[in-house]
Amino acid sequence: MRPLLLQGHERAITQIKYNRDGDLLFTCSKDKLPTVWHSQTGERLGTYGPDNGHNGAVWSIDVSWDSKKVVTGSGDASWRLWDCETGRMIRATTTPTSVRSVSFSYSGHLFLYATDAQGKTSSAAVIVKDTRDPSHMQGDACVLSLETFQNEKDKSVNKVSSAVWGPFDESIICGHNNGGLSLIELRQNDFTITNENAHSATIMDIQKSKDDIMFVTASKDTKAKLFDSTTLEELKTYKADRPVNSAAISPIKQHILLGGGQEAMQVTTTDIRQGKFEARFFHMVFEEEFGRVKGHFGPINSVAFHPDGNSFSTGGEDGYVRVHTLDDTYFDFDLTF
Amino acid sequence: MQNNDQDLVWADELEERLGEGAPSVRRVGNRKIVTEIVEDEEGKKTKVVTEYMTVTKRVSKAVAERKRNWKKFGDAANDPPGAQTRNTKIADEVAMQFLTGREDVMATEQSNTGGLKLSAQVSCRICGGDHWTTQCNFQNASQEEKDMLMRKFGGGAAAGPSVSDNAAMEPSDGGATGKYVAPSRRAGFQGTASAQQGDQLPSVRVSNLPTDVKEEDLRDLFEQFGKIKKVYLGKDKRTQEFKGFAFVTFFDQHSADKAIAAVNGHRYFHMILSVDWANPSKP
Repeated sequence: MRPLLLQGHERAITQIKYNRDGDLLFTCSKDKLPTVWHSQTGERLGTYGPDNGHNGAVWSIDVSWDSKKVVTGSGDASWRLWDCETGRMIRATTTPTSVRSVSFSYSGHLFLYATDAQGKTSSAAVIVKDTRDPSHMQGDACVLSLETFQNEKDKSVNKVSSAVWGPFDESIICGHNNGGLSLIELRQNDFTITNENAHSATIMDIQKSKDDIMFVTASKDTKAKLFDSTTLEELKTYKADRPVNSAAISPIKQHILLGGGQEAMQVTTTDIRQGKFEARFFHMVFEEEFGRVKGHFGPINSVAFHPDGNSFSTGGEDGYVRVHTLDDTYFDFDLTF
Repeated sequence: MQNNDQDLVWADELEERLGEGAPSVRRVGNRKIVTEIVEDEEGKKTKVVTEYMTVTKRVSKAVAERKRNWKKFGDAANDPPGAQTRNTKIADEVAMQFLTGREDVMATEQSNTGGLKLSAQVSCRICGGDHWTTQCNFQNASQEEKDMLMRKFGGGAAAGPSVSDNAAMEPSDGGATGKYVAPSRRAGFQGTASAQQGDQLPSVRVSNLPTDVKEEDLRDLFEQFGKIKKVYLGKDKRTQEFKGFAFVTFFDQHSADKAIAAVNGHRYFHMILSVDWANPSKP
């Protein structure tokens, strides 16, 4: 296969996401311009900014199911809501600290964002806003606002590093920077389930399966794990020998895609293998790695499957997004045991 | 473009005309060929020919609407229609590397993490491979064949059948013969990073085949040992006639091992087959 190489960003890619139809690919990076591309041709459709754009690294991006609205969360301590088609900014609101993760609910009306903790003054929080309600958009009103708990031992704050909506928009699944997982039930207005020992290091990414019943986490502790999205019960573990920054579940096959690599600051101290920056395919059930795709020359920060399962994209610390169309060798291959 | 009248050839003339206006677009079947002259900062002109293939796809209404009617915005607002070579490039061909069998992965990880492998200490007295003599696939080989194997696999002539078990356990790259053995020929060699690419799957060479053999026949014959990636029939370059040998590529080492052990020396129609490891072709 010959991947498309998207060179729109000047700095490391932080997150990439397809819309529901898979024709648009949204990318955000540590430069200030979230970008949208036609996934089929690699044509750049537009950038959200520079008019009314972010002033810092954009950590997270999400698009509503109807591809009408886009929300971005940034290190400049704000989130912005955009009109997907025209790139016009609809709303921007500053937050006390930087926004680490944003996600639209299935309905496309609600969205959540998770903020960082900063020192001892402001604690990390998960907040849900309704885009239809002017008081939410203009004021401080919100559907839900929960501060994350503190560590008993060292009083450090378990900030939320990645968050997604659970099944039927009834819950929110949060991955924390200490490797714990928690579930917020919207009706209870509180954390109802916690799984403190899900991982032993920061959870970098959470992505759901197509039917929302499972989700896969990617962690700095070199593992990716599959969990049940209602009970947070651990189902499978995928071991890599390097930090995992992102993991995705194939919508059509029982495959898990892992992206990661040695952190940039440690690369020079590793040997000739040079950090291992391949995208790796694991079998979902057998937990076995069966394929690798090379390409990036930095760690992969985000991976995404096309909703039809026939292609996937990776975004790396090197600032490139690579769009791969899977070929017959992939579809003909099946594991034999 | 500075040209005197004398050496102005028709091609230059054509390009000069091209450079003046908008890029020229030619359509040949489902291909669109765009030729444009690009001038860089130093005033140097380059001709860029971009060939597009037009593909028609059935998509949902929403997708078609977005593709047709949405205008470029933000930083891309001034981009001309279509993908821009500045932002979108076609990367080099990459192939997915398949890793097969847990053993292979473990071996790779182990050798990569550095340190000596235990298996390097074990050397078979029959074939010189990195396994115990009792586990050798060539148990029943004749003395002559054993000698040949020994020479072939670089176990060193001194490590013949007369050597005691203790001696055989010493690293075979040791100075028993005093001869230098290249690292790649030492027993227990796990390969360098470059030699260990996942696309190098185990292949066996089958020779002495009847000339009327078909690919399907070989698949039938070898499929019982494991999943086959590819069967290659050796053919004459000019006449395309089958030359009596073939390569069969398996997905894992174990199947290839089994195939060699089971089929080598057996009758296939009126011929006695010879099956052995394929020598990796020179890069």
